[in-house]
Amino acid sequence: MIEIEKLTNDQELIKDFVESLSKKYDSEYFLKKVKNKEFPIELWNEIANNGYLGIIVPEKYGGGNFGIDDLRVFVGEMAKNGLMSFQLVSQIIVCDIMHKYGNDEQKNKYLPEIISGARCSFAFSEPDAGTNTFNIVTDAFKEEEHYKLSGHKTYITGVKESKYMLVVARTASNNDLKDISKSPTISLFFVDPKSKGINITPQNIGFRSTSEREEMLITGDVQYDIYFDDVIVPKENLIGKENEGIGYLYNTFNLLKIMIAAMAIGWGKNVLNKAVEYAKKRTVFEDPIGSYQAIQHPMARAITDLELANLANQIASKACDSEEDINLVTTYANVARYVASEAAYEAWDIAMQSYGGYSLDREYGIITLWQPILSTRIIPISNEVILDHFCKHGLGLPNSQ
Amino acid sequence: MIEFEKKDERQRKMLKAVMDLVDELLTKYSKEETKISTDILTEIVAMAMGSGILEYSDMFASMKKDALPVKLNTLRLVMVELADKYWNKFGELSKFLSKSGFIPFGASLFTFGTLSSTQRGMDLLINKYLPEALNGNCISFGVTEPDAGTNTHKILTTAIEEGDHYRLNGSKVFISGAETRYMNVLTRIVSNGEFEGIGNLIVDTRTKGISMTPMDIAVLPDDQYIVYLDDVIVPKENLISRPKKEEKDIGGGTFYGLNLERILLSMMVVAVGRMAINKAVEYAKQRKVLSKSIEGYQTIEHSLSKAKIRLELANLATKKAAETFDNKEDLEIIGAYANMAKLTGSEAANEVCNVATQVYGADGLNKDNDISIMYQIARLIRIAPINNEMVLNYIGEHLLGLPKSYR
Repeated sequence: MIEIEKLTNDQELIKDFVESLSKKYDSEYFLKKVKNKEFPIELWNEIANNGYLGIIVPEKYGGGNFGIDDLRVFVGEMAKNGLMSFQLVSQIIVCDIMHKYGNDEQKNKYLPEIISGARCSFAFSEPDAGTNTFNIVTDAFKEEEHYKLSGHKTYITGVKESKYMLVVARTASNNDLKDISKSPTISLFFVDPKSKGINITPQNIGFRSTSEREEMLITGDVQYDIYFDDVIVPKENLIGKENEGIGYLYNTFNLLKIMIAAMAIGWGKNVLNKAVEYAKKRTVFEDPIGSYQAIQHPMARAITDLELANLANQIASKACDSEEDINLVTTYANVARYVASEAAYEAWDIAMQSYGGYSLDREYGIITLWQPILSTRIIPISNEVILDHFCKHGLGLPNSQ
Repeated sequence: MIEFEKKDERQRKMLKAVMDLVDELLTKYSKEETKISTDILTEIVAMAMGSGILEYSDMFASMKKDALPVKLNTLRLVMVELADKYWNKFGELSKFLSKSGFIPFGASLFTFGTLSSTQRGMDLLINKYLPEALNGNCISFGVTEPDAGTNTHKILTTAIEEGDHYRLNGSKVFISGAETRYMNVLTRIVSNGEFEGIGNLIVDTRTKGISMTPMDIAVLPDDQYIVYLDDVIVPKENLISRPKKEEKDIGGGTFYGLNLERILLSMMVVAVGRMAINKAVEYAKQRKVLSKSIEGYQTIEHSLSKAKIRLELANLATKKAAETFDNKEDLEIIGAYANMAKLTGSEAANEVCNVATQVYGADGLNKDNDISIMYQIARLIRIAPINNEMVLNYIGEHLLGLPKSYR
């Protein structure tokens, strides 16, 4: 499989770094980790030691000072080599928010620590908000010296093992929750997950039909529910200005979509690569199955769609880097996320078909990427919502909701 | 509505100049039903070069030999922007294009690309064929043969070296604009009784031994011909591309031209798709069947959105292909993007036309709405210049390294 994207010198270095990691951390490593329910800490530490957790944060905090387009390459390469995790996405998001909106004191206190490995979670999604993302109800009630946090968050990656979490909460309780056209007033808080009043339980995210609970994905990620019961958060842990969280999160969301798109493309290439190699060797009748057009053409379509999605994601990340208008960036990032997730699913599907029964064997690394790839069609918003958004901004049609 | 492709100041200026010219020509044309004069043709051709008026005159002023006279990416930009602006004037535009001699010029671009890949070709292009084309003496592209079809290696047309000339025999089919002055003929080359490989020979169509008959093809605004080559004598220096010793059968120069053909046709089909999607969106806004206009239904909106997104992706692939071509990147990379562009361009345009037909209902089949004509063009580009199955074979073999799937 030839690589057709032309990388910059910086991006070549990033790629080399990821390839050096992939030589040490192979699929066996991950299978063993998941079996023992252990976080892939050795890999994490190596990423941290090389400054990649702070890839888009300036060097003075220990970061790499790269752009979003470089981040796209990093995430894509990590996924292509089977090294990407949702934990890494959360960490990069939290680093970015802290760097962009934190005050100097917060930045100096937290950034070096989280860039050098202290894990962070991004506590945003809630059971009753779903795709209507800003309709969250977790409430931060302001008292004299602190805020009092109460509510429920769900699908929060790695929070139990995290040192910090960034919590998104309402800070003005007079908003009308029913009116979805009105966005609630939201603020961001840096919270210690071990604070009194916080209860964390793992979610059952397995795909095997056994009675045993299965919590860890092949990426080493575990998802949690968090319950906040009058949790005291000191005033100085507010990130940015009170009530201005939504403005911050629009940027964060675009970054998130670009990363998820890069992940999807990387994972799609990961499974497609394996399937291509398999199809070259696997002989059922007289010729290798890769010489049958019923196999080869869907593979050719999959690589085409992955490469095109990659072009779309490049446009999005470069628009982010050159700080284009937020509506334009949002449309680009939406389109990239949508096409990348569909292309990844297409690649995964033909990989399953090529491997036949072996595709279900975890050792071949196809079925294990099923959930991660599927989730890229949902995170942070579903493809259907993206299409709704596109009607309005890409075609000038009214909202159909 | 969001502008998908960001343009820089220079591009905006160039586009404005082109649009002004087209406005003027369309107004003129709607008054006079006569054939467009040579002056205007020259102007359109200059515009069609897309390099537009600006780059084009620059090039002639300085005669820069290293500059590609046709910047493909600029041409693409002009085509899709024209489609966006004149989406409701498909009929007028296509009549105008065929009457004005634009189409034979468009076909000449295939040859220009092949020429520009070498220094000798570049000299020929700048000193001879480009000025000739501007005077209306264009170059058609003679590739397809009745017995070869998709398998170009099987062509039978043969040029036998005899002293200072070649003797050319064979026949070609589906040749757009063959009645123009020159033809770039893909032929087997035989020297000293030995088959050397497949190369390109430019033939003056007034030469003795050439005859042609028009075909009755429904879709295209230009005429297609069957061309017979019967003991045609062609000067040796007209060989513009030949296989090098290390190349098997077909030379790099020929592939250069074939890639170019794919890129140009994907530009065209993306432009047609842009017209169709704009028409469909506009119609959906007005059309009311039940209590509200049909644009408000998610099934319509999502179909339109998906089709538009695919089309924009195809445009991106075409852009990338054009850029890699303009930058003379590695032939493998140009080939990858050119094939991806042709595959996705043709399929996206088909999807767009399909959705547009659905949105229009039976009215989509009304010739006055042009949707059915656009649909036929989009459908054709899944077959021409090569069928998408062969494109998928190319991608499977060259990008993925899978074994050959056809014999």
